[in-house]
Amino acid sequence: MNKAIATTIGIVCISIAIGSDHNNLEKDRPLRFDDAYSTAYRSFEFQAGFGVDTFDRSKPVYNLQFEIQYGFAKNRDISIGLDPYFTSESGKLVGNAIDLSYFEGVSREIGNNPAFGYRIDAGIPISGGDGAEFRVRGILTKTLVHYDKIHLNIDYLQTTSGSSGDRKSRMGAIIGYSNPIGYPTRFDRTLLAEFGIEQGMTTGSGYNSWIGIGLRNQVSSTTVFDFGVQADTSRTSGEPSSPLRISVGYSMNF
Amino acid sequence: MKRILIAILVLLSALAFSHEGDCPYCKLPLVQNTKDQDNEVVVKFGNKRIEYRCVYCVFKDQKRYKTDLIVYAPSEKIGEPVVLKRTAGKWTAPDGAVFLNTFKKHADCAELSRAFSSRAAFDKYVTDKKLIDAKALSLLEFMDLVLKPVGTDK
Amino acid sequence: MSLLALILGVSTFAQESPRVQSPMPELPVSLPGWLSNRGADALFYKAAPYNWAINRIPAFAKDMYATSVGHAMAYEALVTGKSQELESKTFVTIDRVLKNPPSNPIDEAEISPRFVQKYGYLEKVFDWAHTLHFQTIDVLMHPGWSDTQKEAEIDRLWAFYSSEPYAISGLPTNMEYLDSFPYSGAFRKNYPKVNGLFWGYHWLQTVNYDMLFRVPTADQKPQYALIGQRYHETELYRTDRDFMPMTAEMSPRFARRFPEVTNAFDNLHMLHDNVNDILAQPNLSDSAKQSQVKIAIYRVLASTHRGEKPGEGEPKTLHDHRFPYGMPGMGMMVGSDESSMYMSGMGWMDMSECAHCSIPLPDEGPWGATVSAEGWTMTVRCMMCARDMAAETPGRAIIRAATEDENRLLVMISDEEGNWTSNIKGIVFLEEFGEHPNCSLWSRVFTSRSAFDIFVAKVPELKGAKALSLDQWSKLNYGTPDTYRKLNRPNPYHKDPPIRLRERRDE
Repeated sequence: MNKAIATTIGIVCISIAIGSDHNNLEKDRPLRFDDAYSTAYRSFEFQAGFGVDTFDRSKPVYNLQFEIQYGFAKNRDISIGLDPYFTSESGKLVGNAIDLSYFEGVSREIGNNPAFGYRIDAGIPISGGDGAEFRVRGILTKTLVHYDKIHLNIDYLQTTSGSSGDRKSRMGAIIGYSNPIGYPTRFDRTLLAEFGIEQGMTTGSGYNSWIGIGLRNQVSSTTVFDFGVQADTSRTSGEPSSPLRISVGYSMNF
Repeated sequence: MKRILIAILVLLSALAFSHEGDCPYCKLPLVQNTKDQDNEVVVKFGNKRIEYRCVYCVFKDQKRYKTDLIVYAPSEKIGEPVVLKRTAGKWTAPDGAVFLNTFKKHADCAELSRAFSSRAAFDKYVTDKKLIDAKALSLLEFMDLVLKPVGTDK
Repeated sequence: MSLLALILGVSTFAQESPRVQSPMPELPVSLPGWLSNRGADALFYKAAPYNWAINRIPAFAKDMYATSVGHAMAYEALVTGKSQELESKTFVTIDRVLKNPPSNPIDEAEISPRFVQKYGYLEKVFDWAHTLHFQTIDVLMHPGWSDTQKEAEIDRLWAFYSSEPYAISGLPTNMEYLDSFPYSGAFRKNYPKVNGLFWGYHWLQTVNYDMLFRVPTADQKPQYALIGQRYHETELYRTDRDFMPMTAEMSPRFARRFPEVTNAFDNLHMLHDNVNDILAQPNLSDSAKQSQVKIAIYRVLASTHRGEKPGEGEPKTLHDHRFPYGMPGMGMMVGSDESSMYMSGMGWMDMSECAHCSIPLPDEGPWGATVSAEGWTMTVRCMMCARDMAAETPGRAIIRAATEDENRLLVMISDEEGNWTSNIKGIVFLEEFGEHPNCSLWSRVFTSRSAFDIFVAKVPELKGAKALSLDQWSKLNYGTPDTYRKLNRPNPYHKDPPIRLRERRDE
């Protein structure tokens, strides 16, 4: 685990790290959609994020995210992460989970054909919940007008927990959009936007939907900061709606 | 046989490599001094010693140098150049110095853009070379001619 | 032997052998399989503590990051039907970036998406070679490592680079052959300003290595003040180059030590030129362009030349790996032979000789010096040759010279008037003017007075030699040596080169 220790130290020693890229879009950095490209073969990437889910304005929920990603083969990467949640009410950790992920970029954009990739995620609770959640995501990325891109993510989610009235499996989709800002004079920022829908947790309920907008900003050869805002546009009854979710994050390669 | 060998040596020397560089301005080969005539134009400043093909080329290229300059312009006398100086941007030449500048092609500039220590020396040169319409120029006249916009450079 | 033959034998007028003209290439029987891979295949560079050391000279790093832009923007214009804007709008756009370079590296694929959609396989070759460029620079700029460590790491980087199928060959290749196809030269002819920018930043990409190689890290940045100025004011805007800058021309010391890396960079830059020319062809269909680009890649790949050796191969063919004498880091150029080559702006040169006095460079002992001025770099035998060559050249200059200590390289930088500063305090010069063939003996520099004394004591003919300070030495000047010989041959790149003299080298 020497590399894990080095990763932690690396948070404060930015100068030893190596190129993260604002153009590479990863889930939750800062929006939920992915692009169809893996991290580079042989690269490690450390990601850290802080999010606030407002729900009820007096009782927002905070969460941290930590993830290490590794390109173990060409077009493939794996990652492991931690997802602790805190409430403002108690100030205490109310839940934590380990996220495991496998990504494969099957094909790049060739001619008019979009790039295609897929991801398999597993969320395993450490505290504050029971049952694991799995997701299989198919991803298409296509250049739209010129430098901008559209990304389609189709999700299949499966949970092992929940009460008898809850859906064990759900479908979702996100249309993501990315556009570098400032071309051709600056090359360090990407604007992102998304519209997502997902089946509600309760059997027979409709769809939840949300919109999001975000920015990824390259701040050095090694580091990207991201910022995103999301808002629920609809929620099925019984599920708390979040008028505002804010996330800030940081990524670096080494 | 001896005459043949001498002929070969003469031919060889005619074809021998001339040890020369290129003029920084017109990029044509520098013309070296001969036993009959000095040809090397030398610009000195600081520790630099830059050779030019002719006086015209020096004046055309002078903008690249920001400091005071001394120019050793070959004259009619071997080993006695006409010394021109640029001091604080102002050019001066010895009293009586006269200039020739009649070349149409740069290949002829070493012969036809020169300085002389006197009018008499200029006249002799013009007569010897059978130059037609050659005008004796003062330093100011030479500079006006050389630095006017759109010349017939090469 | 008849008299006529004797005379002509020493000054034979030989018809200039015409430049190689190759037919339009056809696809080889088997192209490497990876060319058809559909994945993005992004590769990360070798993880190491030296990565991004280039940022220690911010101006240099930014200028190098900006070089990602030009080709990408031009290729994008060419594949999106905007070739008519290349010399106007595209040039202005690229130039603006070069004048206002980015602080961070740029992903070329993101600024040329339509190009990468069509030629993604080509981008893999470019990206991987650009990685080698940056990492070798990072190694040389890394503080705290000895030169031995750095050189060993560059050897390891070369092995790391060569382990991927996209690696370009480290063998010298015949540049005349690689530039001989029906499409060759189209881009530089039709888009001279944009091509000038490309060859201008190839100048930067090649000249920087001698700025860094075996130079203490503290002495690297002052050189860039001069090199960066030259780059921005002159080299980017030259449209009079006959050929792209070659790495060994600009960085002869680095090229001598790392010929494979050097050749790979030249082969990469030639690949860029080939692709420029192919994409600029109005009469080639898209599929024909795809084929020609794949062939161009194939020509320079390491896999294509597996098992071949430097110095061997049939002349003026794909597998011609001959190199000029003493320069395994350079392929044969137009009209060149093993003893001479044409260098744009300098004329014909014999690279095994001192550029100032034409005496052969020493094989052993301190190797002399290099002089960088007016955009060129030349190797000379001795300090006097270095000083006087710089003195006869307008503008600022850099001399990098051997001292008695092989681990201490002298780096001197002059101002416009030829006043020198030195990276080593207290240097002492020996200059007891004698015959030029011995100049590397009587014209030297030492890191200290004691080193000078030790050397002089060992050489009887130098008894009584005076130690000169930098200031004293700077004021000396012996002009152009009598031994200097300029090879008077016509420029082989000019159309219809006239009759070429085949000249004797000795008298």
